[in-house]
Amino acid sequence: MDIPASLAAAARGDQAAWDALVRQFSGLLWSIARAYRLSDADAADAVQCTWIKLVEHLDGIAEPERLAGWLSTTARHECLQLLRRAGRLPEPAEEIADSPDPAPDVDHAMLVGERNAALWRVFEELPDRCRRLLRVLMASPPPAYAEVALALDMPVGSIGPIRQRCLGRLKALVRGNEVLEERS
Amino acid sequence: MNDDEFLDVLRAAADEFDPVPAGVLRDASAALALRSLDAELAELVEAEALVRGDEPVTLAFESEHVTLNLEITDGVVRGFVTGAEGEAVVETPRSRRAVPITDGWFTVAEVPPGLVRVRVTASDGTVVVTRWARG
Repeated sequence: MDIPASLAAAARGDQAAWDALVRQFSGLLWSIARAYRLSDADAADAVQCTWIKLVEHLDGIAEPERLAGWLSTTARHECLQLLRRAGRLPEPAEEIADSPDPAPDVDHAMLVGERNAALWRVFEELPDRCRRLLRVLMASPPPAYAEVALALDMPVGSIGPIRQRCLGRLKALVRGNEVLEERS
Repeated sequence: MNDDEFLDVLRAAADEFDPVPAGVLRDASAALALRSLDAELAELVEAEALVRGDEPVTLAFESEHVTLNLEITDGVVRGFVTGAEGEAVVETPRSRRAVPITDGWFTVAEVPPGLVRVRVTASDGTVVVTRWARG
């Protein structure tokens, strides 16, 4: 997708070009709002506000090729504003230690069919910082680390190592879960 | 399964259990129509931030032609404008309400929570709209 071209066309009022941007980035924005644990209504609000801010700035995006980063930063601000408004700020970022043992492997057979639901429940049990990072990484289409860094205000170089530790944590939870562990 | 493959499984689970709601996509698509190319933009120059939801938000906007002060409490938008007369139009992404300006003042009740902006007409006929603000 040629993002600068779509952005320029949208700025001329081209609804189809705008809709292409919406399709490309709504998954990322929704994932960011969910990463901050916003409710359905607040997440919808944060995403809509982000798009409206873009409409307001359609002629003023300095680096159109970095639109995804601009949207990620704007979405973070909207989420934090909603959390502050509710008197609720995200948990401070706890350190994520390595799993005591090497991360156990999981295989596809554990994660098919109804087990997806069990996997989702296990995911929700992760420590907040892990859950937050992985929820953004789970966006469709997959975001670049640069955007993830802006969405969560963390150094881009820290994402790979923390991702690895958090996936290790999750694998350990999967291994300890009865539904997921039971072989079919 | 390596980490990338595991993350792909997680992505599929997110798509299944927490997809982007259709209404969110519709609102995003409709946002383009909220552009006001014809109007002069009143910039936010001062915002009295609040910590809890039950305190009023006070906002000051300025453009070349008008100044506009807004106080937003529990869905009531109360405004004071200089340099404009006639009607004030209080807009949200889904609604717009026009009310008369009396001695500079106007009030609109039952404004849905979320973003709000106000459109007025300056004394020389210039249409002025504020930036979006969160009520």
